[in-house]
Amino acid sequence: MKEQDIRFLRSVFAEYYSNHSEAVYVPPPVNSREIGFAVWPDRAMVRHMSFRSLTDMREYVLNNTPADAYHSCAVYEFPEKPMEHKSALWADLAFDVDAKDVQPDCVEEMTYSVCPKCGSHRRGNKKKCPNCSEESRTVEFMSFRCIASTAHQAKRLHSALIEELGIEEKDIAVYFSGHMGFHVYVTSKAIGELGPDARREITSYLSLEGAMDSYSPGKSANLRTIRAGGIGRRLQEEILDVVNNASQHGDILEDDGVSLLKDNKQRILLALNKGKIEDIVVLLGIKRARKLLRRAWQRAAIVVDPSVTMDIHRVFRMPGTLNSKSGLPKQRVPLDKIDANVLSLIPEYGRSEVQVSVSFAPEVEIGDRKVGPFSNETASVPRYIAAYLILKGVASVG
Amino acid sequence: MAKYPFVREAREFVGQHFDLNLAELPESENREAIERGFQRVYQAIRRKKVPFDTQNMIRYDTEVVSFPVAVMLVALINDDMLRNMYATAEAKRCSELMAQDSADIHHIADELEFHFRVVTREDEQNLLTIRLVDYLAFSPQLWGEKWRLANRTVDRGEVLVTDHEFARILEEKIKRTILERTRADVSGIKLPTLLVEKRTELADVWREYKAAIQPEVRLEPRDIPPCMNRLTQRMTKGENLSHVERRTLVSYLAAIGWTEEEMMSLLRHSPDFNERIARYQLEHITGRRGEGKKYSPPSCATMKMYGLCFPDKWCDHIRHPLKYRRIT
Repeated sequence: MKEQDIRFLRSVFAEYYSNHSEAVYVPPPVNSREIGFAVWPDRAMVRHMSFRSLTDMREYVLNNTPADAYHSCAVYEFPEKPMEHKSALWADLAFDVDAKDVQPDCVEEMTYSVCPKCGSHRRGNKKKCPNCSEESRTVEFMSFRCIASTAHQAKRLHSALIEELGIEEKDIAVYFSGHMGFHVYVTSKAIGELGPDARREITSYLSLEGAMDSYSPGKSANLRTIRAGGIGRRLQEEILDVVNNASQHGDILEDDGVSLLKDNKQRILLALNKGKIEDIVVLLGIKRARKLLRRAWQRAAIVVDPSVTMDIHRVFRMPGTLNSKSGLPKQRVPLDKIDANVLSLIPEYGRSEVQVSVSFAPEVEIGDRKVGPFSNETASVPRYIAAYLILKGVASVG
Repeated sequence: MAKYPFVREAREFVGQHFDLNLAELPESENREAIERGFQRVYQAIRRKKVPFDTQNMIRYDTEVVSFPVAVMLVALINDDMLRNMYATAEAKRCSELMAQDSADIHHIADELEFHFRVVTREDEQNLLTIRLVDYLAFSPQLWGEKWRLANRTVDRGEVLVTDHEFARILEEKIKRTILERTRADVSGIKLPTLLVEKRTELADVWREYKAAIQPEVRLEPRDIPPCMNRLTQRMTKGENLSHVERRTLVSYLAAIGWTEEEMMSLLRHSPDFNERIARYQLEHITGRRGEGKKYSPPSCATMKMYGLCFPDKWCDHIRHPLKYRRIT
């Protein structure tokens, strides 16, 4: 990255922090958490720091404008010591819901191979530019569609935490990561003392990993569980959804299956209410019933990254700080705002315009602005969008 | 009460009669209790079992008092492997007794302050719910497919279990309770002569037992995937691995070239080790017995299904534990 670009990024970051440093936040107890930063120009990691208070930390961030800021989910006796001497007391139960896991095809679609020299671009991961045989850069652009499906998963996770795992709503916080994911924190002492094995089991449960095939017809079809709580209820909701929107599932049901589902809707709903999968088999035939259940089963899984939740020593991006993948802040999102429009919630900063030369970028829609697509051109864009393009490696100031 | 010497009543009873911390064991009266306490540990090592018969019930006082004596002896030897072995044997004994008399289950749970709720439903009997955190804390060692949380009814933080399953969860809870007791710091406590003698005797027995186990287990930590590393470490700590976990580990070690004797010395760490059974199982897995069919170690997908996958960043692109390499 060019020196003038780094200077520009630091000025945008500084503008954000000088107006919004009160948004910088670490869940209590602040002084017992490990804090880490990635610092300009090369974004090298500095770890094992700790701060006495939120005020001290905000002041530090304001004065140092880091590229990224992190806090540990764990609460330590000695947060600033090396890992083996920190001595964890407990840790937030944290989930990373990311577009790359939720909808890999969507992320792939937004992944381009861009030549920094001539701006030629192609989908996917390719090494050399065909025009000037320059080394291409792989760029993952942000996309509404990917954020929308990821938001949906975050919402489902939120409700499963409450309804299934019995966690109180006040103990849950949902954040938009500033890029293509959501971070969900559960801060409660009882849950906080769970070890890695137990955390691993929770993610398996949420994603239905290791669940027996017992819900499928022909098998012992665990009829009592479908009516009771947990996965049974999740599965029931998804079956209902497929039945209610039968025509969207023509790919597996085929035309006659779709009409059969529509004609028998009331009877299927009745069978579901009784928890009788076998009745659905009678109505639809075993093959179609299986397909219906398999689809519902896939949709009932809640996708989270298990290695993140399991690792209690992991650091998470600090709420209220900017993400150097996008230049956008990680922000708490109220329950009713968890959707693709999270980008419209970003606060005011970097609104004045600046000239940038862009090699390539698809249309960008962040905040209230929609710009692009760009191809080897100079354009005037708001500073926060310029920062986004520069951080993606496809633009330069001037 | 003599059946379950760890329960609160027993603690109080023992407290009234003598207090181990005071080291004022009245030898003459309690010679029998000390002998029985020694036997509890001795049998746990030799037979992986603490024997119990109705005669023990007649010698009620002795039986109850022998428990803190046994705990004291284990604490004195101060070896995690022995702690695990003894706690496992005691817990198994309790669980066998609970199975004989299911009325005991609720009573024991109450005594251990283990929260549960009986569920009444017209179609099912003997169901209860326990707290999710307790389920997660006390079921891991028992995990087979049916124990996976995904196969459980989980509602508002409560998990549905049958009373038989509940007894197994309590077994784990009992084991941990006993383990914790054996971790008490007993250095500097003045002991009565008879107990000192028994400690020496037990130390000899234990030294002899451990001599049969090679202390160093060959392990190249670099290219052992975290899932297998975790199993090996739990094994060497003397934790009780489930059948699936053992089979997984042994088939993996056999595949990376461990010899049968090397594997046997690892298996000897298990708290319920039995030479004959272990060798039989080993030969079965490595294909020397049965139809000559070798068990190959499970793939990553199967490991996930078992709940035994604990990936790190080098696991990202592999589908089989044998393919794990740390590339730096």
